[in-house]
Amino acid sequence: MFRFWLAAAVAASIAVGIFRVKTPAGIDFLHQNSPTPKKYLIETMGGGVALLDYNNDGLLDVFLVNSGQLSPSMHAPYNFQRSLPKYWNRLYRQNRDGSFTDVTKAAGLANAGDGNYGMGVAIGDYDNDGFPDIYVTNYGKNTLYHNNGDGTFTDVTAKAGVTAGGWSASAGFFDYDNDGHLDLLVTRYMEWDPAHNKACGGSWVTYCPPGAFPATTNILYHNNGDGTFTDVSNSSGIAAKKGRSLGVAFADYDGDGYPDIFVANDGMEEFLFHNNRNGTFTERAEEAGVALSDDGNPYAGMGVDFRDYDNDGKPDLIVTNLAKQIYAIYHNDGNGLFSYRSLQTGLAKLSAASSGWGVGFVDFNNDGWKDIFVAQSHVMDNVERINPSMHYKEPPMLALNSKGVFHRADVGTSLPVAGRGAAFGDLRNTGRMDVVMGVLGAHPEVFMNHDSSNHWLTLTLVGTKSNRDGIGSRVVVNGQTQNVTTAGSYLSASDKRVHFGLGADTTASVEIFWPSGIHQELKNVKVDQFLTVKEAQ
Amino acid sequence: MMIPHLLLFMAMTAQTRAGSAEAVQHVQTGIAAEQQGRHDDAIQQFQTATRLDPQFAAAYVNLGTVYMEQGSYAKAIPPLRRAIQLNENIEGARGMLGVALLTQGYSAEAIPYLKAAGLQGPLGIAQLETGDLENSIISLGAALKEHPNDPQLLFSLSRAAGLLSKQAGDALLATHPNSAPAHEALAENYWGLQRAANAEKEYQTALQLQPQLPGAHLALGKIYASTQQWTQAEQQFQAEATLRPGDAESAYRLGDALLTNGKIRQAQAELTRADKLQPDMPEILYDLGKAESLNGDVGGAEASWKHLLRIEPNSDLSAKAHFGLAGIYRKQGKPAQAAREMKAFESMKGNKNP
Repeated sequence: MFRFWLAAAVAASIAVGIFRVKTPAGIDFLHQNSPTPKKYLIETMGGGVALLDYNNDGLLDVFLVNSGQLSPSMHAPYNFQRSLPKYWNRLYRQNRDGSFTDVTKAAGLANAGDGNYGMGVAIGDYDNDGFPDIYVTNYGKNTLYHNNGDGTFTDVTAKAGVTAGGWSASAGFFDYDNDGHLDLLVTRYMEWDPAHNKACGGSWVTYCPPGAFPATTNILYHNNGDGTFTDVSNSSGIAAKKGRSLGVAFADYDGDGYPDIFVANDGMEEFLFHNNRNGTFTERAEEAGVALSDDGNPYAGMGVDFRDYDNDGKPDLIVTNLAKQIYAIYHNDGNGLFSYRSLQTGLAKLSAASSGWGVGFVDFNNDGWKDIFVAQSHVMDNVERINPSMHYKEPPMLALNSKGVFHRADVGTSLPVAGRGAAFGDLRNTGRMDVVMGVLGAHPEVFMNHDSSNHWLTLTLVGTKSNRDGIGSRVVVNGQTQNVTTAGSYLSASDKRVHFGLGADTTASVEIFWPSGIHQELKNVKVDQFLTVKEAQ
Repeated sequence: MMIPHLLLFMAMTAQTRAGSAEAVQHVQTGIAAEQQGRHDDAIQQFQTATRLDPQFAAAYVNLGTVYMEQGSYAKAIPPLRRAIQLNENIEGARGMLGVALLTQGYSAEAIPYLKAAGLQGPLGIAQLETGDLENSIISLGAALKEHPNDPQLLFSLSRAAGLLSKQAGDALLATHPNSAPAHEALAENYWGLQRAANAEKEYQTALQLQPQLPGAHLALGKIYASTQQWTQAEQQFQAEATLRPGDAESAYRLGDALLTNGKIRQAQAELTRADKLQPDMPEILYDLGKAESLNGDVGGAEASWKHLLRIEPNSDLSAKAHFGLAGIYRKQGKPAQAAREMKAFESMKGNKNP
């Protein structure tokens, strides 16, 4: 009887739609990827999104990365026409009524540089001035926009020394040496340029698989604390491994107090860079059991998130990939080892026919268990011609977590789109997590969360000894664990606030393990509130 | 096209079928010329012999033989016919005539000569070309036993079997268009054309008409599995396994679907059943090891994968088994054994993808 009741309860929770998909007034962004018959690989890879409160008014704003113009005949120096308004990245400021205003030009973010085809975005307060800064990745040169604190940004890339170059994909801020200053990791996809593009296929021309192009190195920039960064890719060991890297996420998987790095690689082994706590990293994906699928196969790793889905206190991994490969969940078993759990968690049957990009372990129904959202679409825009059982455009996937097992749920739309980036945050400050999904060559989709059944707690950390945003902190609330980060997903950056769904709990106990080593506890915390916690001195 | 051993035949014919002394002399000179590769001289000699002794069968056979060697099959036909008229038991002539006729498109006429000569390969081809598909398959099958990898024979057998299959299918559709087997046949055709949706529909119709149609649930399940519809695939494999509990493939496919659908304990039970029904199948052993490993039966997984490696030491499946074993040993705190298995895994993968 009890078992029947439980099954009925699960089914009922699945049937209820959590999201309403609508574009808030004022967001008129149209992503321009400019597909051509040449099938330049960059055409199908862009679409980053960020959620940040750039003006500290308490409301999340939206930054959308545009790509640029391509033509069938491209010659160096490449000009992607980014000075034209239709190719600008866009910053939308949220107004009190939930509408948005395009403030791109006023904020000084209008021209992303004609030689830069846009990809992704990272958000972090690299100078600890209390205002989030924006780092945009491109094919070409990347751009660091310093937030001036007055609604405007200044391009400080050259001064900061974070241009990168080549084909950058995802990026993320984290403090790998716990010195209180956010460092920056930039993934790079491959050695590629339009003049040496290859197209593949037989009767139909398709994008080539990544193995058709040489692998390349990722870049680690150390923050010097004076507004400049030093490229430590070689000395840190990050550049010792060449990859075809897309997504990146950070978490301290072995609990040694230092953040580690997971890099999703496309069509080859994934990377897990273990932080040696001395400024260097050792790549340990194979030893940890996260390099390949359970069958020993490489897959098309694209998006990644690095959080604890089963509430055992240790961060787990989810990596999205292409149809027939199955999204990979690696459970953190402790002792530096992971187990492939896509079958046991139910993710295999949910994802076998789908291709995924942006991804997040996020508790959307506030039941205390992190769910999964995936922006979906195949990489090839003509995949149906090659295999009619596959689809280029797909609706995103929402899978609800029932004590570590995932069940498909209504995502609020059945409209197939070419989803790419996905950023997660509480747009309306309702205590519920929303999603903004970047769509290739189309308008973004905004998933407003209307689930209201459970309690919640959202924390904003203010570091004093640690970095200003407490990035890298481990926060434990009523037995759940979150690591504070804006990184993860694909090409995207999420709300820096830390959200906990609390189910029926009416009070919360909070523990914060700051990167500085400080441990802070809060007892009997009132739920259903936004709480700012300053790092104890 | 396979041609009889000509030189041996010529020599024997010349020695055993006597004509006039002068004609025999020309035949022997012709044989010598042929052996030196002087085909035109040989032809002249054999033609002279036939003029000198028009009843001398061996002269005609040798003339036809040289034409065959030259690839002049049309020219070979008249002297070979004449030789058989003169001596219907003359050695080699019927086979060569059959082959010559076949090359010129006279397949029906070639068949009795090829039959008499026991040339199964050309006979099968002639039967294929005349539409006698059942006998063609028998003849080609016999020829392939002697020449297992002959491309012409393999192609012809494949064609004959395909045509026979189509004929049978057409007959089925013409005579029983609304029967379950007819829809099953259509489904197979659609599936061969990679039209999964049409194939699915036809299988479903077949199963509506005959719910216990053997193999149809299995085939439909495979379509669902190939299109990643694993819930439906599991249902179909379950139905087939219920209908035919002695069928190992159904049990294996069901186990595989259960595994993909996260029903690990049920998967292990089904794969264990499949292993009992058909022991030593590498595919079953690999999946069984996987299910055992996921269920925490590490000893079982190790045994299944090691068994697989004994049966099939170097394949994709064995590479996967090495990878699985490495994972087990790593978690057991046996780094040396894990490293050994990873080395084997990487060497196999490396060999396959240099």
